[in-house]
Amino acid sequence: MTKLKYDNLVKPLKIAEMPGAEQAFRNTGNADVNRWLNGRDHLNGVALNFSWGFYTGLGDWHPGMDPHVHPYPECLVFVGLDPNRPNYLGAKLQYCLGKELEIHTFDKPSVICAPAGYYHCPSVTLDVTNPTGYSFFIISLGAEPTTRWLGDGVSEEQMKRMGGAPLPAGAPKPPMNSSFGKKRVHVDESTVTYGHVNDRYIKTLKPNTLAKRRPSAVEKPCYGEMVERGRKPGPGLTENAVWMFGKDLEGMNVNFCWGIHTQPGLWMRGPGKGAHIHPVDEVLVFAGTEPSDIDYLGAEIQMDLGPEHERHIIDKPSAVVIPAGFPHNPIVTRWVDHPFGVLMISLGQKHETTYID
Amino acid sequence: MAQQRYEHLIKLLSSGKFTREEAIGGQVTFTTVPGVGEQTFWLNGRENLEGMELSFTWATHNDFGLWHGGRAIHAHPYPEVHFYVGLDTANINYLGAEVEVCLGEEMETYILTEPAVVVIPAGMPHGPMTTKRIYSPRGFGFYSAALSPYFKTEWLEAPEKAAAGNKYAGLVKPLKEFIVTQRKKPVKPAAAETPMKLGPGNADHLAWLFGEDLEGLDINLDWGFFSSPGLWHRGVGAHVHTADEVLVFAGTDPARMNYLGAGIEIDLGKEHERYFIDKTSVVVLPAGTPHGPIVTHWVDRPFAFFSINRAAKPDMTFID
Repeated sequence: MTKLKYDNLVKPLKIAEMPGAEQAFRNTGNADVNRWLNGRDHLNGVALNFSWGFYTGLGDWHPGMDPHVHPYPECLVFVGLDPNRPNYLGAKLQYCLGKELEIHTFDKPSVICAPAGYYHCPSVTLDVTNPTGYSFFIISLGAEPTTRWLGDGVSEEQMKRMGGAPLPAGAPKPPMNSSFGKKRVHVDESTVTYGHVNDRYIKTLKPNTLAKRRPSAVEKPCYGEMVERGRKPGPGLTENAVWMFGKDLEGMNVNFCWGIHTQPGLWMRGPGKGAHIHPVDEVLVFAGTEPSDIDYLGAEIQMDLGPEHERHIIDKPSAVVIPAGFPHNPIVTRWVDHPFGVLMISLGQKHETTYID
Repeated sequence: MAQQRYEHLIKLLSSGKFTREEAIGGQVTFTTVPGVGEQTFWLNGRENLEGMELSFTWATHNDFGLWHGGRAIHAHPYPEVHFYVGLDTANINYLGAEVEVCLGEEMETYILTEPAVVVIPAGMPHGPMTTKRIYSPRGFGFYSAALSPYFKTEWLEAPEKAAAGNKYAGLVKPLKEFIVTQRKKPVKPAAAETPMKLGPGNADHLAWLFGEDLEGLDINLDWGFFSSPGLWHRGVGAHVHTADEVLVFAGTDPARMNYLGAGIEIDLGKEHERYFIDKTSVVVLPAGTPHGPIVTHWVDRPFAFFSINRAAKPDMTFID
């Protein structure tokens, strides 16, 4: 296969495969399988780490380890796998938020916004009603996944295994930099609360895609030139996507768009060749939605990269790293055998977009 | 914009446009009668198609009457294939008109009420063609392929009366007998094992005739309607043919002949130079020119597509 100039920007999600990782949290509500890519090892240094996984299990995701905090803000996003029912999660989750250990439950696709240093979890899957399960992705605004575990149920052995001990010189860095709080938190019925102090950190995802409606004058600035000069959604764009901006995410420097695509065709129509740039880094994730094979995309997509419009073909789950100022697009879905997910993560509050041709 | 290497192989059909008010090759009159298409595209091999031994026409008809006025019977020194086709993109079997076609010096009369292909051997008198009735609000379409790099017509004296008979019946082929795809599903098994399979952008309805269906002519042609975005052929990249070929992307709105209603990407050359087609156009592919893949980006209105390949049997070699 011909080597292309921008091949280094296209990363199959499989590069983050960690054989045996699923065993670490077996018999919990945690992922059956996931891929977790980070800026340090996989995404050319972008200040981001993200995951994509399939979930069917019940119970606490990290028994005894939570709550936990990160040095960076993150979004924890729970989504369903039914392309025709974007409001259907197919599961019921319970989440502890804040130092108050405030219990929240939800059964709709939702995002939890966790600012840097914000206590969150335990996360407990109470029920899974969709027979194929549901999906979850993390959007963390740091290149190195880093967690400080505060739960009082972590054993010494567990701490050692999870990287609590110093690494020998030259050893590969662990996928997650874990540390353990000196002051440990106990979570049980006597310590959790049921208030509304942390309500604002959890938001239901409601489809608001450009493919179904025109943005209002207030919303337009969020999209930049994507909604100007006759640009409009093409047939390849899903009508079930949800787009959250920094203003929706507690002011985080991120906006993301998630949707399950089912149709071939161009994603955005408009004049010219359709390449654009953003002033911030962006990562575009093409994810399969078939839980039996996380490495199956079920579609073929062409995406232009660079000012030369170098055409890249994506036919397996992949992340495309788009550095700030780097021209990209148009995108055309060539065929679809199975619905596939698209997660666009852009490291700015708005999706500032400038078309260059 | 930088000049691309194969730009000259993509031409707007309007480069060969004639209207009723214009003469064709100095042979006046027959374009001024109502039975002829309001706009007709005539592209000849010598001037428009890179010197190919092939010329073609495309027109839509939405009025009654004789196609060629008083100069009705004529012959050409080369064979021709005529496609009488409907413009109902949901039904390839619907002509939406009644057309009378006379064949042979006897002027044997055939009435077409459904889409049909008529083979005209070299030198065989034919005509007049007369649109008797039009049922479809869009009228109907007509394309002809001439196995010649130029158009040449000899006008003949008509006999006093048209003859009855069926001497030439074998030259009139109902299109429905050659349908290979209907409602997006293949209706005939593939002729040979191939790595290629149909993609979502391929035809809703397609008919395909080969030399053996066309009195042994060195030509194969198709006609179809397309309405879906996506790749046309999966599993393959570029391919070549050993014979010359043209790919014609035509709109189906008779009021706007240049309007294609779709955006289509096609790669040309082994370098995969990319071209974008969004107007009624022809892609001229001299033998051996790599082309493909084809990807329909969007469709606002179903469009028509026909290809004409100068081999009795199409051959296809995938090069990447």
